[in-house]
Amino acid sequence: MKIQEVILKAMSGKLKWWEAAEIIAHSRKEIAIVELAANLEVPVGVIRVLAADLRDQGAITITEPPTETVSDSSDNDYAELLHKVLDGIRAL
Amino acid sequence: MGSGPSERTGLTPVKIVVAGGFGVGKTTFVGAISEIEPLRSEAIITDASAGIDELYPDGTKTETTVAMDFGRISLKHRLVLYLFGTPGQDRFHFMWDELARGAIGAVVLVDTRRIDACFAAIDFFEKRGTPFVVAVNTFHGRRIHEPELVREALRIGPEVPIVYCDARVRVDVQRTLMAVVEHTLERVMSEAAAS
Repeated sequence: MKIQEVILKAMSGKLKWWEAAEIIAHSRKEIAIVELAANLEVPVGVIRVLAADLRDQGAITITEPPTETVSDSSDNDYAELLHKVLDGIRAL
Repeated sequence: MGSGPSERTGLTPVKIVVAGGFGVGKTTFVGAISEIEPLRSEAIITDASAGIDELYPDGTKTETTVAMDFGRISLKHRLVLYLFGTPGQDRFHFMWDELARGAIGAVVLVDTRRIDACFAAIDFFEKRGTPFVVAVNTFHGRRIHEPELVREALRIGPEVPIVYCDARVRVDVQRTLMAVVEHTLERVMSEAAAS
């Protein structure tokens, strides 16, 4: 079952939230919050709140773009990341 | 909140913002390179934050939706690049700050027939300190203005790269995204050298 379907079922009450959390925890899928919102046709803010709840229950992890934290900590780390991104785009 | 590679899959997300005036070609730009159909993600906002909605003078409409484009590109090195097209209408500029947070940089798409439509975007990224490149959208490959004329018209400094880009053409979009990353890289390197 796709994460979208799980969340949709949880939102419509067909699944308890902890059940949804368990399913998501066992899935290894990764999806952007905004992508999930678009797929479900639910506002981004709603998904963000639900995702934060699931994270607090330990069901999922939320990954922030590393750019801000990395650029704060070390210019070298950030430059290395940018080199990789550049290389990645070039190789498309 | 975690940062760096996700514990589950080890993918690192990065993002680039695509801005510009309403109807300048942001959706086309995102669609030209995204591995998924550009998604339109809607955020519901109330009239209180959206401002006046003259379509509903009787006040029956309590909320309005705003769409932003979203694209995804898997890169090697276990990176995922997300593209976010900002909502073009002026009254949704308050959303830009959140979109710009954590972004590598931005593309400001310019239609030289309506050059003033991108002033707000340029102003925003300059004030915020987000590195950006100006991409002149060349429909049908026509180069309407010389770069220096564009630079003058947009009142941007010599450090801002100007590229020409047909938003429908994948390789053009690819080159534009590379220009953004290169520009950010240059800035990081010069800041490192200065400190």
